[in-house]
Amino acid sequence: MGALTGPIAATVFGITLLSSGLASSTTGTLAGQAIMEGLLGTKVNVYVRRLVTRVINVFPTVTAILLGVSPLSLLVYSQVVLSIMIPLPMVPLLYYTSKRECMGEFVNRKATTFIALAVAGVIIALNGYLLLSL
Amino acid sequence: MRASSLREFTAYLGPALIVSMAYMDPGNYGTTIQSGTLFENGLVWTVWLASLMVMELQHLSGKLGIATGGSLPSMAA
Repeated sequence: MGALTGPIAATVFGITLLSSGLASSTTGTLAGQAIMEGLLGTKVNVYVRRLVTRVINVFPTVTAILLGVSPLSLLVYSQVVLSIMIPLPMVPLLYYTSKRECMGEFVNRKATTFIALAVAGVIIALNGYLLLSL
Repeated sequence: MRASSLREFTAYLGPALIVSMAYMDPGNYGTTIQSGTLFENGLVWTVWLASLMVMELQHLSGKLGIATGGSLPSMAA
């Protein structure tokens, strides 16, 4: 990168990558905490909750780095796993938003459900293709 | 802009920044750089497609939050 576009670009890109890493780990931890609180309620001790979400967040990547996997391929693999996981929240989201008992007057219109089903179908089909072609 | 609407705007600004920050993770950079080196500009169209699809899904998630006051996991629990 430095040889191609000069040292300033390389530095700027480094700072960008670092801050995006910080941002994504912050939001990732926040999201993990929200998911655990949503599933278990607030009955689990707050420190236990924080510890568990952080260990789940940090442990796999640290292990992979220590095993000597290249960070860039690790990034790409993490995105592959993410894409395979995406139907898991997508399908319940569609289910709950099209149920009148949950949404009341905000329930999905027919067209919205149709578009969302199409989107989910495209994503699941592409992921299925990816899994089969691996 | 009135003072109250300005305060309202800044109150919404924080959560909005966090939500947009969630997009810029290193994984996105990694996969985009990888696809750029492998296919040059051949995959730029996926940006349009993915953005359109994600707008629909985020619209649904926002609506779920507004209508129920909870999150998706709290609905499932």
